[in-house]
Amino acid sequence: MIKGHLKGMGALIGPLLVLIVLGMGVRLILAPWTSWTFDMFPFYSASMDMLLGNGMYGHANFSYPPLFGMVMYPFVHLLSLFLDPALFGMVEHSMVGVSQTTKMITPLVTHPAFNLAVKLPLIIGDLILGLLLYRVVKEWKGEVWAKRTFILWFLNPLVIWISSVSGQFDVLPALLTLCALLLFIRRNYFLCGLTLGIAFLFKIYPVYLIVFYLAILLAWQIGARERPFWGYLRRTGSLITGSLVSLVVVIPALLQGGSMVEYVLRRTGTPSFGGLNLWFFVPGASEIDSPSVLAGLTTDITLLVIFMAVVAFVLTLLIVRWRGRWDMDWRGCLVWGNILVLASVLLLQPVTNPQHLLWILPFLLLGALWDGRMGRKLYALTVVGLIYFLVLQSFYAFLYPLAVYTPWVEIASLNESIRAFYLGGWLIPRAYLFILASFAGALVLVSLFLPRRYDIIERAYQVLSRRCRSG
Amino acid sequence: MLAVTMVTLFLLAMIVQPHPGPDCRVGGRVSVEGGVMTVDVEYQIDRTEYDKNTHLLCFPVQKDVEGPIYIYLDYQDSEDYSHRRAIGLYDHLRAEMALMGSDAEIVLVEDEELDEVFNDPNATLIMTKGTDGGSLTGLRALDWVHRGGTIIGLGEEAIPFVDPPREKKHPSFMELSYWKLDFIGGEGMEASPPAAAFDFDLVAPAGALDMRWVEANDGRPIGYLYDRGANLTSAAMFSMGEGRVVAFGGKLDPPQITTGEDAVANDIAHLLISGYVWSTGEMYWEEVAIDGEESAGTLSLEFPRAEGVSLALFDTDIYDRLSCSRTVMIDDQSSDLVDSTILQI
Repeated sequence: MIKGHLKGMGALIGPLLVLIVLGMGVRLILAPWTSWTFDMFPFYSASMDMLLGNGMYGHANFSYPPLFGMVMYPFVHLLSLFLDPALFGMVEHSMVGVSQTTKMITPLVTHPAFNLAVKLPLIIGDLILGLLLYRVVKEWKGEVWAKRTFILWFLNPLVIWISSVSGQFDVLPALLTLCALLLFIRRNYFLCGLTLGIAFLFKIYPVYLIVFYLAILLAWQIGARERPFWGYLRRTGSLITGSLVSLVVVIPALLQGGSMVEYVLRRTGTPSFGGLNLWFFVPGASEIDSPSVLAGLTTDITLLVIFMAVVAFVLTLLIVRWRGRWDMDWRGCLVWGNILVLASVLLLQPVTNPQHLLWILPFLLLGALWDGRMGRKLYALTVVGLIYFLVLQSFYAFLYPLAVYTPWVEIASLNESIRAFYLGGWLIPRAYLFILASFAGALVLVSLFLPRRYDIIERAYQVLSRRCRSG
Repeated sequence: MLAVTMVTLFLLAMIVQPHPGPDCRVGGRVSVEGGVMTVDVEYQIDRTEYDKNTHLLCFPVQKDVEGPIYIYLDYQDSEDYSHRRAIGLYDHLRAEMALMGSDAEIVLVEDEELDEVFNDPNATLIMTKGTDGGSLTGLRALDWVHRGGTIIGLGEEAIPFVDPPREKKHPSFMELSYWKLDFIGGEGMEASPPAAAFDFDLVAPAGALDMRWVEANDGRPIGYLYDRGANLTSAAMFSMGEGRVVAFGGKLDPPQITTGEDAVANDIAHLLISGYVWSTGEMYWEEVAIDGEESAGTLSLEFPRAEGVSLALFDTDIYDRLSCSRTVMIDDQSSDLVDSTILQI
């Protein structure tokens, strides 16, 4: 059996070997020497706490659901056998000034080996997701499309940046939501629910996909009246049971009576707004000294969450209703549904950062099999996401491990470059660049809902490609 | 495959849960003769997995108080930046205190609940911002501190009975001068003895106190000292009647590990758990380096006679695990030679 598995694996990897080596090489070179200190600090804190027996929420710095802490623990524990954990990170006083200016840099720089340990599961996640896409697309559309999809995922600079430079773990729930789609297509509702439940223990957003799949099941039942009602109950029950079974993983934490739920909910309930979504103007407005714009924006997050769930539900029913008009098979319909539900979440949630775009990218790649526009959206989101990352603090902010642990870059020159960018910008002030990038991201996401003739992103692309061809 | 995945995840979940780690114990024998108090200290540290630096501290104290800790929160400003910072301090302080073995009650209070605080002379009140109560709240707070309360204020305007120099709203109020602090990478900074002993994390506060006004109010610096034209300190402590005032120079600001709630929570937890807020004189401290093996030691110290003595042992790594402390009060009704056999190693 193992031999069979290995053979299957070889057949899958064989044609992609050069691409895999290239993608892994880039990632493994970048991962140790770059980091986004602001996000790396909670991972560092959770790692130290877990190694010392304090639990990942020990110092109250880690406030994500617990699964990423658990995933990174074996890697960090392995590292602790070779490197004293006291050396995992270093407080760098010379960074405090720039940190106080930008409020987004943490003056604790993690060791390259620690960066690699934390990013390794993400890099593996990138690869598995790419291989899964390859396998699915090969089955649905053939080898050429499969290879193209793999390249667009595994060599995508935004994907590489998020997992190997920033060190954000969004690829892991994205991988699980893709698995959930495939399991739903195979009518394995229990495993679909279980996979989404596990994804929920990384990030909260897969809960909206549970709503989506439940709505699909309901729509199927309504659409086919001859099906027995108990069959519907069984399918729905399987999906819900699967999602609930995943909670077994958090039982030990709940039994400990710690503050996990409190920290996670408090973080989710933080009333910040902005990013690549409909609230894109909020942080920019405050930076350009227009606090009055913000005064009315005191939305209750709970209401927003319920609203998003309702949007997901209604969208699903509409998709099912319109399926006939689109002349699309059920696989395409489900892919399309995932895209629209995730786009709604990205547009409506209080804060949408570039790493959140990873949630939707695999579905855009699948969507491109039916509608070429989805591929163009992926290009646009890749560019916008990268620009957004760079506009936050400039590229220099990611190079602190290189500066602290090697003699090649001076910390002082990084500090100065970041401060100069933050207070000045590139040609135009940073605050305006920030609003522009955020607006562009929101526009691309909105365009996912528009018919082709009203899709301004698509029209802009057509004009551009015509000009390129004629030029 | 599914079962294996779930079992693996469950086992991982079990492994990463908090579990008891190495511990330390500290105790001592106190004897008093005339005006001198002799403390024979003993400590013991379990085997740890990694090398560690620890600090052993001993200082005379006025009393041993364990009361509830309140953090003031203005719910009217729930969308406000400082409100979120105060909640952050609440989370971090609870975490720090729990990790250091304390089960002290920590409660968020708003304006209407301040009466409850001011009725308990054993309570500690942490103010991250000022109240709207004006001089009246200032006078009530002042009276409570005189009766034994401890108030900890973060930044200018946080302590209701502290005003800028020559702007006192009431004759009995304190005057302190707060400066905006430019950290300049730690240039011209040195640690006061308590800051060095406790290895305080708040190295780069957003603001600092002018030492001239600290000294004018008979206070002493307990944080870091900065030479910025004037002599400044990140934190100072004042005796007031039966109570204590701890003034931090800056409000909670990013970055949290040197300036914000993470650093402040660590420092406040050390001050409260060790009993240092009730210290009455110079402290003794020394570094005890351990190489992962079990270690133990004794030392004999002399202090001017006081009501009691506190002993503490802390881990000074960024992520501390070891922490133990105890306070011994001397019964004044007994003979000159008091033999407090409290050693429980």
